Formats: sequence, C-alpha cells, structure tokens
Amino acid sequence: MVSINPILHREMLLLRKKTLRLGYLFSTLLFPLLYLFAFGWGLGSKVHLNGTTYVNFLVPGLLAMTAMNNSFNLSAASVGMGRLFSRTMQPILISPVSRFSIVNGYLYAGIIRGMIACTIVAAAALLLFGSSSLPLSLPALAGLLLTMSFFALAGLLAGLLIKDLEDIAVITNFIIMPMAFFSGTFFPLDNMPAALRNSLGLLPLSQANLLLRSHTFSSGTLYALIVLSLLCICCYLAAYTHLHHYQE
Amino acid sequence: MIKVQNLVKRYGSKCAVDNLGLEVQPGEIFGLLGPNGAGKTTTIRMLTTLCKPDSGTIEIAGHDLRIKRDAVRRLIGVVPQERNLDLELTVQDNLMVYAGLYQLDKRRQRVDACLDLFGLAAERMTQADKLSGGMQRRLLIARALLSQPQILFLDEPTIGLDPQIRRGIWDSIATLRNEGVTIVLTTHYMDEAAVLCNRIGLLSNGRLRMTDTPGNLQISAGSFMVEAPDSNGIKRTLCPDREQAEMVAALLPGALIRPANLEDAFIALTGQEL
Ligand SMILES: Nc1ncnc2c1ncn2[C@@H]1O[C@H](COP(=O)(O)OP(=O)(O)O)[C@@H](O)[C@H]1O
Ligand SMILES: [Mg+2]
Repeated sequence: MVSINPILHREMLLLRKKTLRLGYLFSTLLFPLLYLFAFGWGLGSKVHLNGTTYVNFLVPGLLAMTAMNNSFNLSAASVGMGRLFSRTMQPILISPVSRFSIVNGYLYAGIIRGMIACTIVAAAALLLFGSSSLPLSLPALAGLLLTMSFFALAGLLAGLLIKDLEDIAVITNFIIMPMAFFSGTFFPLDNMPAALRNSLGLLPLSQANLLLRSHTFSSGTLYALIVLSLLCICCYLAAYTHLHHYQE
Repeated sequence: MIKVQNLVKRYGSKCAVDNLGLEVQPGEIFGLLGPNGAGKTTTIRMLTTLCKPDSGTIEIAGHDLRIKRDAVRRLIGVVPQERNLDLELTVQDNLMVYAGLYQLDKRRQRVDACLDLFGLAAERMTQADKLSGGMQRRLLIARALLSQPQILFLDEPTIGLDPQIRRGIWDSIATLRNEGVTIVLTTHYMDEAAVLCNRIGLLSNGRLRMTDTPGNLQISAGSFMVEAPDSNGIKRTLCPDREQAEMVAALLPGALIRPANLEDAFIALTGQEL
C-alpha cells in the first residue's frame, strides 16, 4: 500500500479545518485580491509598461507574491508555532519518521497551499482581465513551482531556527513583505540606480518575477531557473541537517 | 532496559540535571519523584531523544542513544507534560496522523482498538479542543500507546486532574505494567509514586538523592511521624519505631503520632518540600 506522507496528511487535515474559517481565507487572499482590484482596475489598461498593459505586468507579479507568502507562511507558522507554542512539533520530532519525510511533507504542503491561493488569484484575474493577463508559458509555470518550493523550504528552515514566536512576524515584515515591493512585483526595477537594481535582481522573488514574465526560454530564464533550483537545494539540505541535529 | 550514567544537562549556569545515574529493569514502573524544577522533564526529554545531554550516556534496550536514535524512537511511547494534541483535529484524526508517523500496519484497526481501550470511541469525531482535561490526557496516553511501545514515558501524567480521573489513569498505567510494558513516570505527588511505582528515585535540584522501593524509602527515613504545635507552626520529628515516637510525643504538649509517608521521607532525605 502506498501511503501518503504523514506530515502532508496532517497539514492537509489542518488546512481543511482552517479554510473553512472565513477569516483565514480572507487574511491570505485579501492582499493579492486587493492589489488586483485596485491597481488592475485603477491603472490597468491605461498605463503601459515594457510594451504591454500594466495588468499584464501586474498579474504575474501578484502570482509570484501570492506563491511566496502562502508557501512560506504554511511551513513557517506550522513549524514555528508547533515548536514554540502548541508544542505539536515535538511528537513529530521524537517519532521515527525519517527526517527526509519531514522536509518533503512541508515542501509538498507549502506547494499545495501556494497552488490553491494562486489558483484563486488567477481565477479572479481571468474573470476581470481575461486570459491574456495570465502567465501560462512553460518557464512561468516552472518559475511558479520553484518559487513555492523555495519559500516552503525557507519557511521550514525559519520555523526551525526561530527562538521566539515574534520572530515570524519580524521575518514576514522585514524580509518577506519588502521583498514583494523590491523584486519587481508592482513596478519594474529599471528606474533604480544600477548597483541597487543588480543586487535586488538577485533576490529569489526577482528571479521568480523574471520567470513569470517570460514567454519562452532564453539564457536569462535559464539563469533564473538555475538560481532558484540551487536556492531550493541549499534550503532543502539546510532544513534536513537542522532537523537531523535538532535538540532543545 | 534503561541504563543512564553520569547524565548532565546545563542551561546557562543552571545545572538542570546533575550527574544523574539510574537503571530501570524490564517490566517495572520507575518513578522520578521531585518538586517543580527538580529536573524531571529535562531528564525525560533526554531519554526520549528530544534533547541531547551535555555529557553522560543513555542506553535504551541495548541501544546507545547517541548512535541509534531512530531504533530507540521506534521502541518508546511518550506522554508529555503539556497537552500537545492537534486541537483543531478530531480525536480519530489525531491518532490517524500518529499512526502514519509510526508507519503502522492496519492503521484503522489499531486506532479503533486504542479508542475502545481508552473509552474514547464515542468521541472519535469530536474535535480535541472540545474534550475535557481528563479525556485529553487519555487521548495523549492512547496516542503514545498506538505504536505498542516496549517502554512508556509519562511526564506528570495526572497533573491538574480530579481525584477520580487520576484513579482511572492509575488503573490504566497499572494495567500496562501487567502487560509487560516498562514504564518511567515523573510526578510530584507522593501518593501517585507510592501507589504505582516499583521503585522511586528522589530527585531534587537535578540530583538523584536516593533510589529504592517506596517501602524501603519510608523505612530508611523513619516509620512514625510526631507532629506537635510550636511557636513556628508545627514541629515534625521522624522516629524509627512506635516506642521512640511515644517517648518524643510525651515531651511535647499536644503532639500527635501518625505513620510516616513518602512525603515525610522525601523531606527528610532531601531537605526539600515536595
Ligand atoms: N529550555 C530551558 N531553558 C532554560 N532553563 C530550563 C529549560 N528547561 C528547563 N530549565 C530549567 O531547568 C530546571 C529543571 O526544569 P524541569 O526539568 O522542567 O523540572 P521539572 O520537570 O522537574 O519541574 C528548572 O530550573 C528550569 O528552570
Ligand atoms: Mg516538568
């Protein structure tokens, strides 16, 4: 019998409970949908950027941001709260389940939550602005998947490393949210000073945005795919090592 | 079954567990008795692979814990001090998730059997946060036993429960011993230790002061207690036999003689209140 990864199983049961609560749905989807309505309608078809309408620029960025937030939050909150507050992580840590299964479980769960949120945002974009706003190319979809993977793993690592529950809010407010603004989500980085632009371009979310806005493979997309893949591998190994040596 | 030598765990300058050594025989209930902050939870955490000792060795069922952590994890069940259930999930889902973590065969049957055994069958679809404190505690024990462990660790299993519910949990623990499960439990209730344990280790300030059967611990401290009111409250004197107790009581106005209990022994042997 093939059995589902136990960590994923648990996260899906918890997610099912949570999505039934309206507040939870609201808090995870309110921001991307608000941006979509406000900027999409406000600036939408009037403003042109990079030879396309602003909506066609904005929607891929919003999807990358949604993927980042949702995948990161799932594992960071579940692991961080579980370790430090409800202490539901400890039974998992002292069970014989392999440390690879733990990493994989949070990776899958983060990807699934990212996919659910992105599907809803994409559906809203489709209804409001038509299918031309959606990034449906192969590099875009690969980029989305890598974004979810990277942030799910980064969330797991953050959840394992934090010493205090406040740290989750600190990471979200000082790293995750600013990254959304300075990675070309809402506006291109072209107008920034070259040095700043080049360093911001290295952020994982910048790579994600680049991929989500490309229609075909090029050396640029290939580079971004490699960077994101390497980041995923590093995070995976770091999370695994940390779990292996975990102690309180 | 369990062999611990020179176990040390420090938090900063504080020595939570100080050079602790103990041996637990197969099939016995071993109790760690000590007041809050004695180092009971820290000891259990080290024995259950959650926390690594600063020094010392732990051997469980022949496995060195430094090397064979996963082998040990398969053999043990743990009931932690805190009620760390998945409160948003149903009773049944709590157990099903656990069955997955331990890769058990015939999960559904195991879970059903456990629910029946702990009188939780009627609550299987109840969300865990809707259960009473006693039921949550039973679910924690049921969860720990799902994988049919050879060794069960219970950290303060009846803390904060009503007397009647405590008795029910004592019965469950005693039944397990009869089935051959080796049990290590911690408590700061002397009655619990006296009723359940084959042997007791007295723990205070991270040190194991003495290990013996409840009966021997009591005898070594004195069998009779003389209590007499004095200017500072009550003056207590432990006496080895009735004759001496009566001699002491004769000198103290208003003195009462009663059989000594484990708590008296603890105070006499460690100089600390329970
Ligand atoms: N994570 C920790 N950090 C710092 N000090 C700790 C930690 N855990 C326990 N201690 C300290 O170690 C001592 C023993 O604690 P503990 O093992 O929880 O005692 P008990 O379970 O017997 O009440 C206490 O003084 C406690 O403050
Ligand atoms: Mg404790």
